[in-house]
Amino acid sequence: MSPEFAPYPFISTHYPATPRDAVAGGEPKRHPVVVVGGGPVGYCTALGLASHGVPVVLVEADDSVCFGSRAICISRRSLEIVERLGALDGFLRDGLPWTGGRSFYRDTEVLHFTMPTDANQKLPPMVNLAQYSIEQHLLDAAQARPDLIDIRWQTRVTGIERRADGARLTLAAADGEYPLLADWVVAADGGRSFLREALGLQLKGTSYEGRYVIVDILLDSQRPTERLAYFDPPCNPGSTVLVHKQPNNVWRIDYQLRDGEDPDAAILPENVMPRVASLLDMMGERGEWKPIWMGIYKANALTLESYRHGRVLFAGDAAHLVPIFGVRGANSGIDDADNLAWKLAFVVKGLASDRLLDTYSEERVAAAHENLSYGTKSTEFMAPPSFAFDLMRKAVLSLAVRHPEVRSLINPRQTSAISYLGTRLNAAPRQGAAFAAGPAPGAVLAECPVTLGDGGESREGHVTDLLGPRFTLLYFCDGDVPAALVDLERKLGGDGVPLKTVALSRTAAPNGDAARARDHTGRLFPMYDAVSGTSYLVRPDGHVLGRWKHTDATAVAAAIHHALRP
Amino acid sequence: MPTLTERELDQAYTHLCKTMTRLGEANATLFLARFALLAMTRIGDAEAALKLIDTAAEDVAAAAPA
Repeated sequence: MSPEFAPYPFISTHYPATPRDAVAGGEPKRHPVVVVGGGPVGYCTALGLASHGVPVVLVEADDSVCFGSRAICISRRSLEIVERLGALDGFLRDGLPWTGGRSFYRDTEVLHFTMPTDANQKLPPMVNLAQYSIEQHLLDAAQARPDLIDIRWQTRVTGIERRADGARLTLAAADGEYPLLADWVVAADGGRSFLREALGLQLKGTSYEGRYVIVDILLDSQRPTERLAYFDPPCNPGSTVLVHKQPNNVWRIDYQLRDGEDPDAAILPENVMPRVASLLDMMGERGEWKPIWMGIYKANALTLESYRHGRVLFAGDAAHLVPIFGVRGANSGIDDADNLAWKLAFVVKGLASDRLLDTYSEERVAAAHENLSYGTKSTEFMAPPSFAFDLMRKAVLSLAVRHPEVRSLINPRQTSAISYLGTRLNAAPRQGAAFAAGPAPGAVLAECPVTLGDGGESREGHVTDLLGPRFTLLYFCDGDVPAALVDLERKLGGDGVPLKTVALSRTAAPNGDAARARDHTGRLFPMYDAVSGTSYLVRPDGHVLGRWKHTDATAVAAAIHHALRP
Repeated sequence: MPTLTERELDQAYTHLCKTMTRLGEANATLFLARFALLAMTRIGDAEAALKLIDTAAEDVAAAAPA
């Protein structure tokens, strides 16, 4: 008898098919940017471009957000990006924040890890939120910008003809095919990317043999949100089981298939149900539960060698496939989108040379290799690829009970913010010696509470609140912002290059036009090793471009010019 | 006593696993025995070596696969 399945506790909106463009004779319509794929990466790219005022056509094959068991863990870095895209509220309202997890060997706890968090942080290190909710919140934000984001529902790309100045796409709408011209195409069309195939590109890397069954169930439990890993548990000897809590009483259970188990048989409900039941019994969960979804997963660690192919730019799963262990899939895709959006916007607006887009590929391919190296380590532990990894894991787990010195090998190496320390955009590398602390060029900002604004208008906030779709100069001072910096902001603004200088002071001194924030905790200046006159120049994606102990407006101008014409 | 950082331990662990994979399961016991011998002489401390041998032996029967 097959069990009764429960639906996901989510009612998805179905969007009517977008009719095809009427192309009567003449040339098809031309658009600066077409984003292919309405997933987290496509929406983040579209929202990022819109934040810079660039119009986007987004093409989505389905009629709603995704269905089924997909990404569930969103990192602090992704939340920072989502906040800049205007969609954070829903993520925090619906998501479950968490800070750590526990690993068990048989019936003994062998690791309790916590992700970095402290009183300076604005956002939790991780929230759990189902991908359909992630997409819906991003989609809602995109639909609030109908002036700039044109979503083509139930429309599929079926052909691409590349040209020197863009591409001619063939789109299949519900009512027929039509051509469309794009100056730039963003391929965010997922792991089975049509565009990757159409361009004859291949992902390179490692595919693992070990398989996991992935089950989502509905269960009412007050158990806290944390990552649980059970190695060789009494309920399922020889296997590895992962458990994650999702909002609205949904639980994600992943368990490893034993060698020789037939994957097709393994995901039959009659084989899945008893495994889940015995796990819940072992965990002491006695409540009623129902299955929602069952699927199978095989880890891949693959990437394209370049994410820029002329006028086509690849992002997210279309560009790289990262193992689920360590939660780098959706998070690295959101990071891709954030890196790409401002660069593409600046190129489309004629403010930057298209070489800036080469740095998108350079930075994000390097990031993918870093993500893959951690993901590979996690996979080698979670799904041992040979007898040797299996044997050594047994040694680690059995020793970990009494020997804390080996426990770090069990740590799942959760995703953390990537630094572009080697990127050619970074300015003033020789200044590094002058700083004993603070984010180096290429790194993201260190979070710290500040008081935003001044006088009667002030409110509590954080350093990352000072960023926006522009270059931001964080100028540490106890007096006024020098006239040369005020002039630079005005001059670049006149050329269309957005720069905003924010004065960060230890005292609430009145000041003319410059935006201000105050280091009311006294922690910010030492955290950035700043003196009066120090500055950090920050890219639109929140990575530091350069820093100067004693700021010279000419050097700041040169750093921005170099970034725009690398 | 010098200690390994987490990263160094991780790298050594992975190198060991990959080397053992390459040698194959039939050679694994001899490989680990040779490594243990080299590690022992490198430790250069008889008491520490004896203690490590006893520690490694604890609960092995319980940890071994069924």
